[in-house]
Amino acid sequence: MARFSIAALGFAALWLAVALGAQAAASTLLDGDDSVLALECGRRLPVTAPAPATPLVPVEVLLVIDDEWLAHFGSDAEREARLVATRAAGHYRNLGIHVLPTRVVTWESPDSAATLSELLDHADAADLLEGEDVALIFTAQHDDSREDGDASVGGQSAIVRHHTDHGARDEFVLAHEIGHVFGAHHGCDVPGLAGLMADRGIEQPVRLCPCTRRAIENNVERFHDT
Amino acid sequence: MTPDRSPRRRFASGRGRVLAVFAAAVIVATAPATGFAWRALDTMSDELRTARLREAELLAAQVEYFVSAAFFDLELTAAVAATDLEAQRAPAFGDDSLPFDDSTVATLLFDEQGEVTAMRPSSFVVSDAEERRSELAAVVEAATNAVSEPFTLAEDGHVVAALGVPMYSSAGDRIGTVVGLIDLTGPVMAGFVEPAERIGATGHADLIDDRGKVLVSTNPGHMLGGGDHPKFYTEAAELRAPVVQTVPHHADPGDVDVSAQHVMAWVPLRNAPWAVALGASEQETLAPVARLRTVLVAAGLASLVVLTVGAVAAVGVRPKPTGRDGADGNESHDLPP
Repeated sequence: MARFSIAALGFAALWLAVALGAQAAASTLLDGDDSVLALECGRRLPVTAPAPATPLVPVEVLLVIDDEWLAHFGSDAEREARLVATRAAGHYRNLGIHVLPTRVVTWESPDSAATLSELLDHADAADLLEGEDVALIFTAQHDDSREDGDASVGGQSAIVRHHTDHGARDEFVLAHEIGHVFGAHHGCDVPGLAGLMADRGIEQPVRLCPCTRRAIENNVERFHDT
Repeated sequence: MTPDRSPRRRFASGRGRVLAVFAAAVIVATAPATGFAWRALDTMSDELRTARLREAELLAAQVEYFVSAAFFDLELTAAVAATDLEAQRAPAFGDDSLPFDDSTVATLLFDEQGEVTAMRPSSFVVSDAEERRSELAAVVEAATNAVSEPFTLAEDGHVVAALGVPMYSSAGDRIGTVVGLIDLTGPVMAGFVEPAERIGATGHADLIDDRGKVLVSTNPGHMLGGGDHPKFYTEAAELRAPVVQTVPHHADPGDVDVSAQHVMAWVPLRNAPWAVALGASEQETLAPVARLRTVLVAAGLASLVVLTVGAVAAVGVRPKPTGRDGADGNESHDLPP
């Protein structure tokens, strides 16, 4: 009886081990290939139901060309602004955002503005928007700072300054500032992955940090209602 | 007195009770194992379905990128053309006019009246009737980027879809539309679905529009039809959410794959009202589950057989008579020979 009991319990334990092994094998099936897809900013994400595909969000933008930009580019000023805006907006297309320039205005920027931030404040105060969602301001004004652009997180305007001597390309600077307007902050939880939204300079400008993507996807909902 | 050897008597004996309790204990011990085994099959099935969904997402990402690049080209073209039109210059729209990669087979410039005023390549032929066709008109009149329903070009019989980007003047007036035509029958689009054939002998993929019609398929005969899964395509097109389901398979006459069910993943795009459907027969998709089930059933049956044989042996084998009327055979082996 004792031998039989030991044998029976052994087989029961074996059966349990087989079942648990199968469970573990099933859980880790294909895990190696999918690990990257399941990561966000270095953290393993809980399994969630796929979200419905949000429709493309059209964001109407006003292009504001200041007198300095106009003086620098001459007759190509508007074309250059449109191309920079289109190229910058292209970075957000895969997030379901379609930036549509619907109007272009020229604006005489005040000489009293010492920084881009002040210039942006002046532009906001000028209340240039007429139903558009966002104003993109293009300037070539020089000052002692090495700022290339400015925008407030979740705001309605962004400014880019064209530098002839140094600085990143206007397209990437404006894309960075548009990211702020769309709700993104600087940096990324994963070092080296900040991409467009890097705090200083731009690392791998074609990349968007997964956290940045999430922040923008959550924030652009506000443009659905406009 | 002759001992009563009936089963009832045997059960009522101490040995029978011990065996009954023991059998119950074994059942309790193996039940969780069986539960785990069952769950393992479910988990593996879910993992395989999820993997199919992710494969479809990868295909969809490629199509999305292509459509996105096409729209990007058209937007750059529109940016330049709009400033040219505003400056009352002839829009630079010739074959060598723009340094952009062109993802479309042809690009048309429509004015605000809906007339084609320029095209690229200049050798492209578009008839007056085609200019006025409803599919193009819907795109030309749209206020934002838009994608048309598919239509067939009279010139070469190719099925195309039109992507439209509106142009606005600096004053905010609509001044025209840039339209790009994507050849749905060309090798570029076919290249997006071809990898589906590598997932198995019954693997296939379709690019579906928002009405559930097939735009591009691994089976060219399905073009503009409902494909192998018309009901699923129609329902999923309305849902517009990624999903993986086991759906009925309507095999074509002469089709090698006559399986009744397919596991199909569905991933909608963002930049176009399209979706990618990818799948294979249920038998092929879940073949690893079937193999694991076989192993588990074999292991379970082996355990059960051993336990049953052991139990029967324990109940049926009585100790040899020892000349003493021992009430319990278990005690007999303790006796000296």
